[in-house]
Amino acid sequence: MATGQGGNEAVEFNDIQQVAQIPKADALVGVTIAGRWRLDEKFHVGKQESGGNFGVGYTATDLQDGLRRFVKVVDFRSRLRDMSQLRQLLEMAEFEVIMHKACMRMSKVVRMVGHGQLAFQTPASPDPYNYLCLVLERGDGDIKNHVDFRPDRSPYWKLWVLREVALAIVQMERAQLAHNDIKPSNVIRFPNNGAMHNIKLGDVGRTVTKSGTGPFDGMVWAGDPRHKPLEVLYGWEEPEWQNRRTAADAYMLGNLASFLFTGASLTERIINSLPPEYRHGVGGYAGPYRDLLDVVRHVRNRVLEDQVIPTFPAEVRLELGDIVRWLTEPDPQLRGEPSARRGGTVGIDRIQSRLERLAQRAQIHERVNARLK
Amino acid sequence: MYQSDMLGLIKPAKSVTPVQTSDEAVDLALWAWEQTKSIGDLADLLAFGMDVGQHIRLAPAADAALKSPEATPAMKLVAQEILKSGASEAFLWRDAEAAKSVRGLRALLRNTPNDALALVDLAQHHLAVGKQRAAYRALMAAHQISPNSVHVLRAVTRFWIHIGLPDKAHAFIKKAPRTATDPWLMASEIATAQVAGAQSTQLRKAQRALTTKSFNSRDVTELAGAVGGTELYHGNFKEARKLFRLALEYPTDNVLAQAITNQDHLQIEIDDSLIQKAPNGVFEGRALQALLRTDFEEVGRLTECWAEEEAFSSRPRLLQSFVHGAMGNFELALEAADAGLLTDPKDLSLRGNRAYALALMKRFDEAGAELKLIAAQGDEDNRPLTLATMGAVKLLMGEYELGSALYEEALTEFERKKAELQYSDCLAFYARTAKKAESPTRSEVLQRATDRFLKVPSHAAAVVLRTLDQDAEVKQDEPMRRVTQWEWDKTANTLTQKHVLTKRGASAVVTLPHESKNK
Repeated sequence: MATGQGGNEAVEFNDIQQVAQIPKADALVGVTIAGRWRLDEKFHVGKQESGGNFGVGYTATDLQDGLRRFVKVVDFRSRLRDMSQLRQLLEMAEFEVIMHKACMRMSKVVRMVGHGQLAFQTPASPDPYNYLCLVLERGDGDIKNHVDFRPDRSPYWKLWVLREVALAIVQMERAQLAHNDIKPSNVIRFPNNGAMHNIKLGDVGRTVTKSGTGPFDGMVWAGDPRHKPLEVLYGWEEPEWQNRRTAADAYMLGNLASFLFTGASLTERIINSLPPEYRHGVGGYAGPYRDLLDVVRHVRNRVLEDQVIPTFPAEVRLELGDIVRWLTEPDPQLRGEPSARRGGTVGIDRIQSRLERLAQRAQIHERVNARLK
Repeated sequence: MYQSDMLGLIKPAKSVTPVQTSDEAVDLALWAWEQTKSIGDLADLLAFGMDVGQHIRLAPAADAALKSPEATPAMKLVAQEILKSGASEAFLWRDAEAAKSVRGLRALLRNTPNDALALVDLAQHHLAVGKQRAAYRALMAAHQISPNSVHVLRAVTRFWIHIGLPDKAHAFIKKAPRTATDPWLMASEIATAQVAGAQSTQLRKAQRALTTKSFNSRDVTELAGAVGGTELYHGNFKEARKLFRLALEYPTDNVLAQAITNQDHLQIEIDDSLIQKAPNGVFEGRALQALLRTDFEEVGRLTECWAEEEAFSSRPRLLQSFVHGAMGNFELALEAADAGLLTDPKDLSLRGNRAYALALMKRFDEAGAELKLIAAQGDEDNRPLTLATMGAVKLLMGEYELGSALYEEALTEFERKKAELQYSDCLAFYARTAKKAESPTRSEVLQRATDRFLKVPSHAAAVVLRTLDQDAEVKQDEPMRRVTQWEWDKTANTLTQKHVLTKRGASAVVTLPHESKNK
């Protein structure tokens, strides 16, 4: 049974289905949730490190409008033996729903279409076995499937992606949220809005909140370690939220730029370019991050100048180079657009505007070149 | 495509762990790539290469990246690192000549003017060509950007010493607020105080810190080396040995050079495995090792590499000009001396080597001019060498009596100073010059030189006498102590490396007795 309004509000449902046998979470192809979302195809099953299935993804068809959706099915009941894991799972699932609700009106964040319980009941067992379900917009896949690293490709699409992600960060920042897990697989392509590419940021499950009420707020880092900012790598915790969380999102945007043009994570490049005695971890550097800033900055500069910025097309290299330098500044207190920084903020909105202008310039360049051919 | 929740990546707050990525996340990325075979998914997968623990699983993807025409240079670099598991061209890229050149550094600083290390590198380039003012400006800019940076503070201190102002160097490092708490800066202060002939403000604190192990092993290298150097200076060899044992756990190029140079007193064996431990500056250590083996040709080669590594320092060129002079390669000796003088025009030893090379090339006027410059400084330490070189000039000009007299005066000076090895060196050089000059006393001088060598052999004398077809070998050193030893436990079948100062001639590997130590 689905409740809630249509339109922009997510539908909340509590669907109990009578079955002969309770299907497993990864065997739900063909099931229709709340009379609306038919599960068509299963995605890769994610396994928790301690074993067992906890979350399965499906593509689904929305029978109401024919649109494709993505459905996450969480089997928390399989954790009933382990109470702390169960609590954790429930907390995270609930949090993800809350975050999606908070981001409902954000045009650049993947929208939640519905959420609720899908339960199965058998004659033999009156106690329904329920799954938590999250129904989300489904795009045309993440940007990894669409990126082309060849140097003669127009940078327009890549700049537009960056602009869109920057806008997503700005929208979340206005709601005092930080995404905390910006990476290529969370940047989703949607059908074009007229002439513009439509990109949204997905997976708000790792979001951090300024209010401190989220399960990840107290953690040093909950996002993908491959893309984490350098200061986080060395265990540095900025006390001020803007310098800690918004600046982290800014870094990940810069890291995304590195990926789009070079195919490599800037964090990975910097780590592997540091002399061994300055790398973090066992046998490496164990002192405070601030004392290492000079070294990290120098290596980052060299990586950017030698490996990343030369891959930017000539027509945007200067400006995009500046933007990436601002975004990936190793000192989180200095990270961001310079004039915004003077005012005490990271200035992603200004960076978003610059990226938009760059993208438009690249688009014009692309059209002119096309005419000349 | 969405990823499922990555519960495995949640870490508790306030804990810092090395980069570890969950196997599950790699599974997902591998699956994605296998499904799509897209270059984007391959790139995303390769990013797990920063976790060394995943390298084996990533090998097929790395292989695919190397073969793919769509893969970017950065992806291929990552792939190489995965397949080689660690060292890669990234280091070559980092150390690429273009990037380290002045032009490369200036380009870097144009875009990132707050790069203190680039400014320090630039200063070193300036020093290498004698532009002291430019070097000073770059260093002051670095200091302005990063006043508490250990690298910058040490670089500025070295600068003052380099230009011959050790008092200023000591005053600078002494007053830096961080010196009192940072082991690297404490080491700098102690070493600088010694050079300046001043009282160190950090020595006692450093001694206490080393005894109480206040700093971690990697950070005490230079400190132990500096305090060890002071103990050596005061003749406390036993204490110095203990400190160098500590310093050699994670040696720097500086500590290695000290240990090799003072090997006679420390009696610590410096083998290749120790030299390899130094993060950089391998060439200095190897050059000094080759010197002690009397392999002067190897020294000539290694000093060239050392000079490239430390372009701002005249020390590699000093050694290079000396060994080439000993081997009779006078043009190379002159070239090395000239390169060294560009960096440090005030280095009198370099001027002396230059004068010697010019004299043996029969460019007597130029040699004379150099000797005048040296004499004008009134440096007593250089007097015997200056006398010997003047003797060479006169002998080669055919003024045998005067030439011989000058050489004899030089020998007397060495004797007076009890500089036994330099006496042997001087006699060998005298013998060679006498032969070249066809001096009537050449046979007698040669006999004296070979007799002297048998009593007091020196490396340089050996090399010079060999150029005169004499059989001259420096006997192997007495067995030395080791600073590491492997213990093989037969019972447990384990091999453990111990950091320990052994007795002289101790074996590299010892077998523990059959009875278990845990009995």
